[in-house]
Amino acid sequence: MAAAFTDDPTIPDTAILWRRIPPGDVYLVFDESLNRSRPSSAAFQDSKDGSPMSVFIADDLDGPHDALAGHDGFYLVGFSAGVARECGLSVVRDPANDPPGHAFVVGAKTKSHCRKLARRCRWIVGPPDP
Amino acid sequence: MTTLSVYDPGLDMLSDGAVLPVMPEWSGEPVGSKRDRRTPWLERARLALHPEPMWRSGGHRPDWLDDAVLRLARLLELEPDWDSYGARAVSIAAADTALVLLLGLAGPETPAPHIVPTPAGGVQIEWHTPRLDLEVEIRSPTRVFVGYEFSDTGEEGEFPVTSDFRHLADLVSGLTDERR
Repeated sequence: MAAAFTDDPTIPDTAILWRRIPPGDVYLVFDESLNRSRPSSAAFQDSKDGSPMSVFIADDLDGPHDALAGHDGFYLVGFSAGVARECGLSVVRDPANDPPGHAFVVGAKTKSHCRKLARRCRWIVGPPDP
Repeated sequence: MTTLSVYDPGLDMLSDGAVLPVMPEWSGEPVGSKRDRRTPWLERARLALHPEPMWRSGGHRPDWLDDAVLRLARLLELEPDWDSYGARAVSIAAADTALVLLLGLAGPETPAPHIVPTPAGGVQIEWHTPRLDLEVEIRSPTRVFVGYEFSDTGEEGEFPVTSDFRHLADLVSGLTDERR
């Protein structure tokens, strides 16, 4: 399993990774320095079952609906694999490829790392404009 | 009535004479129950706010306080796996601690906080002003972590808070100063 958590060089820095964001205002914050709403950094922590942060590789899916299947109302954000690597994190495909296109962002995530991901991600499926 | 005693050692250092509220003992449904947790928590919050604490700066009730209390109560309604990644339900203790910290550190001139849940069942209080990103993550009453970044200087850092709240209090004061 250790080998599975080695950064995957076949995933380029330009690859866009998608992550689901809960519906409504659960994670929504307004960043005055960016002058826009974005998800909280709390949205970029590892899962509580011990598995690393779960993402989808956008190019491996047919569209956002694949990442949101079964999650009505959820939003979707995207950030590049390069941003994750700037934080010293690794990007690896899910060895089980279940669901297809599933990947992990692996490594210890400081508050600074989570904040960087939150500030640099973009809405793919976002909340309606206020 | 039960004091969140973990904060007692730091009170003198953070409060400038302010009187922190005491959260009454939890007597609602057991933690993890699917029964209503919002209503009994709101009742406790109201008791904690009566009589009104002396605010850290200024003499009036913060405009953001009612929204913050309601927000914390709403977060307690989230079911486990609310994020689709296996998140835990927000704990009563985290909500209690968030309210006590807000009342102890923030005043009427402090910008309104964002309050979000964390996957571990905690609460994160955030401010994102033009100059400062400040995040206070409450994992439990004894595990509080702070992250901050100044946009003008690029200075950033993170630190745990145990009993000495001075650094955190200075950062929160900086938010207020920025608005003046």
